[in-house]
This record gives sequence, C-alpha cells and structure tokens, in this order.
Amino acid sequence: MISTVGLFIAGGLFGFKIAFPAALDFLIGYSAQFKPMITIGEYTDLFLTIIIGLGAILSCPSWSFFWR
Amino acid sequence: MPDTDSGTTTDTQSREDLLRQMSFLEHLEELRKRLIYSVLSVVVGFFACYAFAEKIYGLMQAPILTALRNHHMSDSLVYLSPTEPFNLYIKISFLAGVFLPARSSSIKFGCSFRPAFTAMRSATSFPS
Repeated sequence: MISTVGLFIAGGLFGFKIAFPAALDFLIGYSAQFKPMITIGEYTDLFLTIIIGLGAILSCPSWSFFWR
Repeated sequence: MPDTDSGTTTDTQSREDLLRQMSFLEHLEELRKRLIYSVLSVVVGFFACYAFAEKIYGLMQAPILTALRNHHMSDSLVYLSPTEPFNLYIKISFLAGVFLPARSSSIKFGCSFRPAFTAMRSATSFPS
C-alpha cells in the first residue's frame, strides 16, 4: 500500500513539475499565431488526465503484486 | 499487498483466517460495511476539500499560467457557461475528496477482497 501510494504520488509530481509544464510550453508555443481561449473545464480535464494518468502508470509495478 | 490496516503480522494472519471462515452472506455484509465506510470517507473528504477548492485550483492552473506568460499571452482562463466555475469547484472538491482519504477508503474497500486475492494467488502460483 505504501509503495502504491508513494509511486502514485511520485508519478503525479513528475507530471505536475516536469511533464505537464513542458507539454504546455510546447503546445502553446506551437500555436503562437493564434489567440488562446482556454476554458477552465477543458483545462481541468486535460490536467486530470495527465496527472492521474501518469500517477496510475507509475504505480503499475505495485499492481503486479496483486497477481503474482 | 503486504501492508494492512490491522498492524502486526499475527493480527493479519488471524484476520485472514477469520475472513476465510466466513460464509458468503457474511462476506457480502462485510463488503457492504466497507463500502459504506468508503463512501462516508469520500463525503467527509469532499466537504473538507470544498473549503480549499480555490486554493487547489490555483495550484492546478499554475502550469498553464506560467506557459501563457512565457509566450506573452493573456494569462486568464475563460468559461463559456455560467455554471462552469461552480461545477469545476464541485468536481475538484469531489476528486480531492476521493484522493485525500484514498489510503483509508481503498484499504477498507480492498480488504474485503483479500481472501479472494489470497486464494487466487495460491491457486495460480507454481508449486515450489
């Protein structure tokens, strides 16, 4: 349980600190000729998908202990 | 999972033995009890997090505000329907309420399946 929660938090932190800002920087820089109109709902969905997704993926190794 | 909410290994063993001896209906009753506790912990977490929803969202939108500022764009997000900010805060509070007591709720819920996992593990593992 500790490893699952720890890995999930590590994945979320990795997404929040490294992956997500880098992705946003790239995506917004890519569309520099347009004016962004980012809605809070769309942004929240993207944020949750990336952060929870990365957390879930990084906690995959501990899931394997269920099925060993 | 190697860790449980019951403390020592002997406690875990006796608890597993007790769970194995229970009948099907007793297992269902145990599952119902644990489901109710899980839902209650999420509800308590939701109300606790609703008070901090604005702070949580401030933390969440920090990456995009930084990215927008770096590219010299307007650093404010928009909403298209009047209910969107309210729904957003509800959604954030609910999700934070799910993840805040995640340890207690998932253990409470997961422990009711422990005998099944243990049985499956011993049935599928190779003989040593």
